[in-house]
Amino acid sequence: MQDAFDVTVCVQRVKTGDLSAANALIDHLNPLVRRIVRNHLPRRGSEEDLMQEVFVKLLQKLEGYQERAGIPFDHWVSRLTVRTCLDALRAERARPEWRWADLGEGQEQWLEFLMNQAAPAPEASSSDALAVVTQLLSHLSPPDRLVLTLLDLEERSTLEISQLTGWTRPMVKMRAMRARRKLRQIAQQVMKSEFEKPS
Amino acid sequence: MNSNPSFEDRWQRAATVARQGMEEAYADLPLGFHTRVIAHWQAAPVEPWEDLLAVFGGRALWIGLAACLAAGAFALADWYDTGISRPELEQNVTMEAWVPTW
Repeated sequence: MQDAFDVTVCVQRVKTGDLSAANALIDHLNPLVRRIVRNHLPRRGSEEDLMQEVFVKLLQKLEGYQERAGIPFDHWVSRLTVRTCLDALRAERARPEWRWADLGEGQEQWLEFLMNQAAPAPEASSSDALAVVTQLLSHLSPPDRLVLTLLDLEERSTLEISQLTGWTRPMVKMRAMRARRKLRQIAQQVMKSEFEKPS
Repeated sequence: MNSNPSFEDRWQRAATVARQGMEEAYADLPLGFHTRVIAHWQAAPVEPWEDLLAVFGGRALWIGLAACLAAGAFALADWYDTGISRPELEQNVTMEAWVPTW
């Protein structure tokens, strides 16, 4: 049987400058960091570049990391990754316009379903739903996008989000509520563009 | 049962289906990734003050601004009090008291 990876020992070795331990730590954290980065990647960002930024920050700040009772190392890493992603999202200024004409048939069905109470639930694929949901989220402000991705796509609790972002739980709830309201407005704008002829 | 689900309900439905389309993120790291990360780490180790600035920077700015506003408000209140509460007579009396009598 393969020995379980001992994070505490590995972190201690990295702190002493052991490069092979640093490589092992990067490999161990790859799935966790990649999952968060993929879900919060800026539109034009490269997953690999953002992961590199996260790992460099992680190694730089590792010296200051102190294990606290009840708080696993993974939480510290998740928090650092989420904050790095939020910074990257904030750095992305331009959000290109999104119009009805840009949608595929399955995506149209999902948007129609979102905006039209009488529309039946689409049978379009989950990738179409994901495309529409991701597009809508990408038009929100970075903190709004972050909170809804964590809450609705990653199914994290408000307590977890509060720990990851440093926002209070009421703030998380309030932000999510406002963000959903904004999503509706964005979807309405896209629906309106269906009836607008390009000049 | 509500036959007309709200936007919130429909959004949740779309998010549930979207979750099924999310890829599992377990790809291997590309060749040279570790080397680049370690090279960057060793080239620029973080300074302790950078960490402190990152943690307290934003808060310190707000606290400083609040302190400036409070100090300004106190100064204004003090100046206003001085202007209206000092009796003119008192000043005259004080000045007269300083006139030498010899």
